[in-house]
Amino acid sequence: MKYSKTELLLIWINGLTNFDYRHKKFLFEMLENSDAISKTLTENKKLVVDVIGEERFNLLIESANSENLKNTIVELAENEIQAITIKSEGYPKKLLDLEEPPLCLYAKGDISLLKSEKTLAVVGSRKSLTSSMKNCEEYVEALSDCDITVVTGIAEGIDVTAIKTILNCGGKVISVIAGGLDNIYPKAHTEIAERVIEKGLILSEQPNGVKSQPFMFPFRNRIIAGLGDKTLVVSAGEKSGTLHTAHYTNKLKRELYAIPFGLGVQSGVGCNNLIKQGAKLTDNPSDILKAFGVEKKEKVHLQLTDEERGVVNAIKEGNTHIEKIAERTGKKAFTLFPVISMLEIKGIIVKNGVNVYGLTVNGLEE
Amino acid sequence: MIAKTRGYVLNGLKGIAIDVEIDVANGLPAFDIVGLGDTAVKEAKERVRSAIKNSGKKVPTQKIVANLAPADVKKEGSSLDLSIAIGVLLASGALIAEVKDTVFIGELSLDGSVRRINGVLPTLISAKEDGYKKFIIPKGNEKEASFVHGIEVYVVDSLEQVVDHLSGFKPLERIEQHDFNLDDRDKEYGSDLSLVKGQAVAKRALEVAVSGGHNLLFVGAPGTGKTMLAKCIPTIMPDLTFDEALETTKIHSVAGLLKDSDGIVFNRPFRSPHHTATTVSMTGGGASLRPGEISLAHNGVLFLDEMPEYSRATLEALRQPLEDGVISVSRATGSVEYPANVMLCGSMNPCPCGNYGSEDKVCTCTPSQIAKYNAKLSGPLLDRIDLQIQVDSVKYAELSGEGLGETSKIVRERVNKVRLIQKERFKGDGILTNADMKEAHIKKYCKLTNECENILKSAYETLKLSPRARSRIIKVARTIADMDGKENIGAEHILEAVSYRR
Repeated sequence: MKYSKTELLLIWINGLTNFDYRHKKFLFEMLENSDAISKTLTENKKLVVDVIGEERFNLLIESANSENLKNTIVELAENEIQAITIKSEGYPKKLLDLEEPPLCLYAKGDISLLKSEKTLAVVGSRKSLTSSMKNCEEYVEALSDCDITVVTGIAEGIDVTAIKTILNCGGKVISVIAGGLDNIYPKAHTEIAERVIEKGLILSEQPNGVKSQPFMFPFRNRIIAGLGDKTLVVSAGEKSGTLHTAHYTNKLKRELYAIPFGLGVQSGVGCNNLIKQGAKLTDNPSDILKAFGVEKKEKVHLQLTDEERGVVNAIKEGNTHIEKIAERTGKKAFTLFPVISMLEIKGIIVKNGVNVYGLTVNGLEE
Repeated sequence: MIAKTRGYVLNGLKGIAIDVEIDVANGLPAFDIVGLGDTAVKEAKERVRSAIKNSGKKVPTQKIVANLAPADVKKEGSSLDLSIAIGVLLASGALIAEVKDTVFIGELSLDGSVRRINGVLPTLISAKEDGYKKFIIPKGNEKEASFVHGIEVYVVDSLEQVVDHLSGFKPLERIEQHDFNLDDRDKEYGSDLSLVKGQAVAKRALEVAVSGGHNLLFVGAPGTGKTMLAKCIPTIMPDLTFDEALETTKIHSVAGLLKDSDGIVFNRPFRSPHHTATTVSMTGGGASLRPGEISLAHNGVLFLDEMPEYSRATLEALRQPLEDGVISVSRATGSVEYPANVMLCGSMNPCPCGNYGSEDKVCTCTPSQIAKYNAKLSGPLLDRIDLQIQVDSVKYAELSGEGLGETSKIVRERVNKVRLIQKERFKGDGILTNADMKEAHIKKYCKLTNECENILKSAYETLKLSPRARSRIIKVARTIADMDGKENIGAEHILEAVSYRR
């Protein structure tokens, strides 16, 4: 892949370790129109040192040689990584709305996804109820049916559920990770990342070799919010990292959706708070599809037996313990097992804790 | 003069006949015991000497040599004391009697009294098989001996009584023999299913597990009543038959756990070793090759509370006995086989903090912690646990306070019926319960209709079951169908079996 001069400059600047976003931006603005980097830097030494400090200045001069840059480019090519800079043609316009748009993105996979017309950021807590996972699956399936690209991270819980579901139903997915592309966190998800590379796209703002550190995750979340036309929060605890993504979405003045939760569900407090603060409430994928101006494909209604319907009705109020279901249907608890298993298999109800069952989005429609 | 008496020592559950030869001859006064005895046997000379003296007899001031034949068998314990003492008395001429057909078993006290010993029941059974008819045993072992029929048993309190009996001066009455009658037991099990409130789901799973002989794993937060439920398992298992009771009693007798007042194990054992238990304490072993917990729980329940806390080696060691129903313990001192036919019941938390999967509490464990916790139970071990169910938190148990539920007795009657169905079916297959089924049996007895296959397939996909789960589900479904009195497995049986998963 050929990079223009400006692109090369950006790749070099973005690859500097121990420099934060502010430093990098400053350097880029100063050097954008310069022909001799070292010369410009030394000429403006006082100004540069003021911003980035003496130590970093020395590092900068040291690394400012063409040999270094060449190696970086070779390395990128070897790892089949494409660098997309803010000045590149392929740079997603949606990110330019951000206050701090990433100067350079490292991408692996299908970069045409960055041009997706309709995108939705799907985020959620790492520790979510089974029903939240199920909801995530439902939403994501509906989205991929309508050709909407899903943007997410790669953490446990909602992120991975979303990715797996999309990969299974052949949809489009962009996964933005916090560290370098060679440092998938959590490590256990390396395999999934590889599948994403095959069928979707993995993005990172950090060059190879950078390990993800706690502060990188909230900053990464701005990219997720920035890439999504809208954002859906599937689940979020009171202090969930997911709320950062919501925060950026609000800043971008884009639509924010949250799934409501019952009282006392820890992994839903954040969602409810978001709704309180003005996020749109969604309890059905069609809410989001409508906002995108697409029609939901008609789902085949499942045939339920009278017994099954009875159980579904008994669960309507929310998560229900099997003893309660038994009480409401007037049957013995264990005689309900076959019915409950069948409903689980049909994807209408889901086990939400010990002997506690709740309806899925599918079930609500029934 | 030479005298010969007969004693018995135990090797595992098998008694070995020992010829005790005593020679009293002129020479420097000494007492030597030869013939591969352990320390307890070597020390017998001091006990024997004092016991004879304190029974008013004279120990010859000559050289006494006791030979324990066969000389190449290791002999352990104090059960030979009595036979050595009688031998000395015979050899020194202090006692004149015919002892050819009599077996002497007992430990001596310095004052001449005869103490009870462990393992009398298996000894008597072995000796009876060897063709011996007359036995003199300690009084403390009377009860257990009374269950061995077809032999003459005399119980004694002291060495003096033995001498008086043998010399015909004061003959003893042979002991009365008892029949195995469950009404004789002091008390039934302490627990009863009717005392467990709520937990309808767990109770049903319990009944399924016991009906089909399936091993069981409770997953639930601490304090949800897992132990209480587990303690109810023996109460709903079919009553012990005499043969089973005898087998279990043998093991308990060897281990010294037998209650003197009962003499036999009436109730199915419930063993719950603490999770710090060593591998050897579980499987059996040690210098004297004692039976381990898994053998002590023979015909009963081995309950492992907080299962992931046991050491990995300990748990893995249980795999083979769980499969075969026997455990062969081999050490440098020898090799013995103990029966180990148990129902395994485990309990564990869903994660280290106990709140994983809870609706209203937050789990504070990291995914890797949870994975590590669950990985402590290996796949092959879990394969042997057909039912893995979640237990409710107490909140719900209280909620459904429907008063006293079914008593264990009612459930036991149902279990008996289901066990009978299985016994009929597996005639000639060499297995007794659904849980014992191997792949070939599953193919033969668990034909699935297309509908069932489809359900299994979609369950596998939507519920993300592990491939290992399949045969477990089918086995459990077979049991549920048996409980239902159905010849073939139906959809509802498969579906219920599917619901017993984590």
